[in-house]
Amino acid sequence: MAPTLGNFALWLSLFFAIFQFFTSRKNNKLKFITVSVNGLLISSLISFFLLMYVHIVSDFSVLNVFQNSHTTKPLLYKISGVWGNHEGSMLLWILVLTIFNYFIFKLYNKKNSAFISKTLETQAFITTGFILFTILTSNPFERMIPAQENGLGFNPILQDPALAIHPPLLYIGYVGFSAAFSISIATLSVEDGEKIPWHIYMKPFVLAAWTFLSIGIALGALWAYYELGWGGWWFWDPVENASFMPWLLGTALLHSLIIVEKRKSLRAWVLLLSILAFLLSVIGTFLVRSGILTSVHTFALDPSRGIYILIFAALLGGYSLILFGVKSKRYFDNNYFTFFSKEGSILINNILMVVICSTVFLGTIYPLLIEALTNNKISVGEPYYNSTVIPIMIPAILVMGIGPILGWGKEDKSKTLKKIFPTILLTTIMTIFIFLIYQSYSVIGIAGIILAFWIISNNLLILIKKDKNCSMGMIIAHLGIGLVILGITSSSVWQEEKITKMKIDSETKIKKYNIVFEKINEIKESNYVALRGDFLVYDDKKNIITILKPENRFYLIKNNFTTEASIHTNLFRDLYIVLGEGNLNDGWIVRIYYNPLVIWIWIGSLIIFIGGIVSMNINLRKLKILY
Amino acid sequence: MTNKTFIIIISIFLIQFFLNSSYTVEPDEVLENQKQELRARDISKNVRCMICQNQSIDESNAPLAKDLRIIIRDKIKEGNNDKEIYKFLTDRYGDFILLKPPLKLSTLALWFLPFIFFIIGFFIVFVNNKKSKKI
Repeated sequence: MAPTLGNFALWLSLFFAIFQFFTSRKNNKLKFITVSVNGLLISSLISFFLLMYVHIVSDFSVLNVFQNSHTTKPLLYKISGVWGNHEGSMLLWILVLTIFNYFIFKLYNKKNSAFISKTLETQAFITTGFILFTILTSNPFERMIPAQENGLGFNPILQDPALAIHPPLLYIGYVGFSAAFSISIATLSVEDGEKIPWHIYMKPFVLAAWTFLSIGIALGALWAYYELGWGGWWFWDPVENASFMPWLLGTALLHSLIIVEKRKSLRAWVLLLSILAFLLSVIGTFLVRSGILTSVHTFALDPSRGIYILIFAALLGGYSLILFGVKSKRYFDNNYFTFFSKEGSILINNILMVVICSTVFLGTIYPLLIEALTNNKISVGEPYYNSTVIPIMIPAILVMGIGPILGWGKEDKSKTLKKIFPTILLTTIMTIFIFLIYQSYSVIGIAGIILAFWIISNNLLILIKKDKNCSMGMIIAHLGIGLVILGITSSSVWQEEKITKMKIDSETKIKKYNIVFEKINEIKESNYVALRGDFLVYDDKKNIITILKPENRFYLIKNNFTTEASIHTNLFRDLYIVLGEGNLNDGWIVRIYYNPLVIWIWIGSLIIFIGGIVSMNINLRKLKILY
Repeated sequence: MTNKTFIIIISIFLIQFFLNSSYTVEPDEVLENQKQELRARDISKNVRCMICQNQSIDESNAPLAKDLRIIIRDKIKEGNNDKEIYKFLTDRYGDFILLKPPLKLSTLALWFLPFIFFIIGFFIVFVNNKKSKKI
């Protein structure tokens, strides 16, 4: 019953999406638009929660549940299992689309009816595209006959709390850009677009998208850090790139919107960026779901899906870019920029963000191009990105530190020097302090630490001085970025690794810690069996710090094997232990990492998130004034 | 079943799964000469595990990755320099094995476009700025 209803609700949402497209296109009857927007929201809510319901009750007459679930799976992962697979995640994608659609509709009033209708029309087009895609190629309510006794289970490395909420956050990010896209299309399309405060409408959506994309990416990295078990957290995997590219453009977009607001410049640029940010989100989806790129994120692959998304992206891209080409003329402003000013610094960073984004895009698709053109296979991996992205990132971060304290228009250079003197002093002190602790002199290490404290101390000083020119959200988010840079630099430059074979009762040393392999235990849980090592960690004064308990798990249902790293975290370092292969006679292979300051990546990300929320609040207030 | 036998059974059971899971350099591979070992690690980080997805042989526990790690270490012990080792690898497996694509005619765009993007970006802004009025 429930699957049939769910399927029906999905078709109903298709109906409402098409209905919304035509009613908002004509913009004659508000009543019809209201019905379609609400109908769309309610029907997609119903289909989403019905899918969740069939996952919770383990209805194995549904193919999607059979393929991805099992009765022994804990409840949390039955719920997150809804979006842990391709078909279900499309339903979540649609739900988020319709929620944003609803918020856009909330902006509707008599004065802006033509503009919001056009936005809703575009949004309805996008929604229709994705619902059709789901129904045609990936319907999660597809039945299987006869119904099965039990399911095939769910990839155990995905059974994790951080990963349970990672996709919804990312989707809010990707889909949030759809709202900016639609607003941009509407601005270009309607007659009197210049008179409409479209940038005020657009900003909260961009902020929401950017903020949630940021925290979503961070959670994905956090998960990779503790679950994949080799101490790293970012691998320049195509799928990571697919989320990083919209983030970079989103960052550029967010900052350009400030210039549109304060200086009435860069309007055409912002309209273009908001189109590109969403297109990249869709292309990212295409790359992930079509399977043309090999990646650690394995979704069920099917070429017909890839072709559908490619055609859809081409349609969206073709239409929006041609529209931009034809209609953007009236948004070109010929304002002069002094580079040594707030808008100048934002402009420089805009260029750099777009250059980084293009570079990542190039690296992601280059192997495909080469293979198509020359039949040779090449790999573009981490070393490529490190040697191209980092050099562009460094000036961007330098500018990011000074930008906020510069004034609009023109800034006096000697006055600025006086202003940043305390920052330089503080940066120097903190950098020397860090180097006294870690005593390592790698060039990248020095550069990274200086940049991190450059950002941190600048924003702390702005905070202390209560500079009215700077928004609270900005200061918080920038502070977060500074902390993230600190964590990234120190954990990648000063990471120490020890790989050794340990028997029970033997001990080993990493930095000032003595680690004793006390015993090995067997664990029997409902859905896995495991071996767990107990490692006592002592500091140099022979005080016991903690017992680390890394595990090797074997999941019986999926015939799957995972390692669970055990981590002891404090504000200065992580101790990270992974249990490897071994047996009682020869001992076990044990890998131990000493990761300095890694926690600041996660704290920093959380602070960025908070900054985004604060800024969203401020910008929503600006939006309310319009009503 | 006693604790000990259980552990033995699980360890035997788990071994086969280690073969295709993500693990890295094993202690018995490590070279005694620390300088040489560091060199081996640096090279390994740049060598793709051919049968894995987007992993270097330094991170992988696939048997092929292990073989390559040992080959690289043997070559280092024989006194080959990095260039010779990379050449040996690409002769055998093609450019696909390098995570850092070599600079060639076909990768010129890959390596120089970022730089060109950078120039173009600033060029457009400067030209635009020249044309615009001061306010």
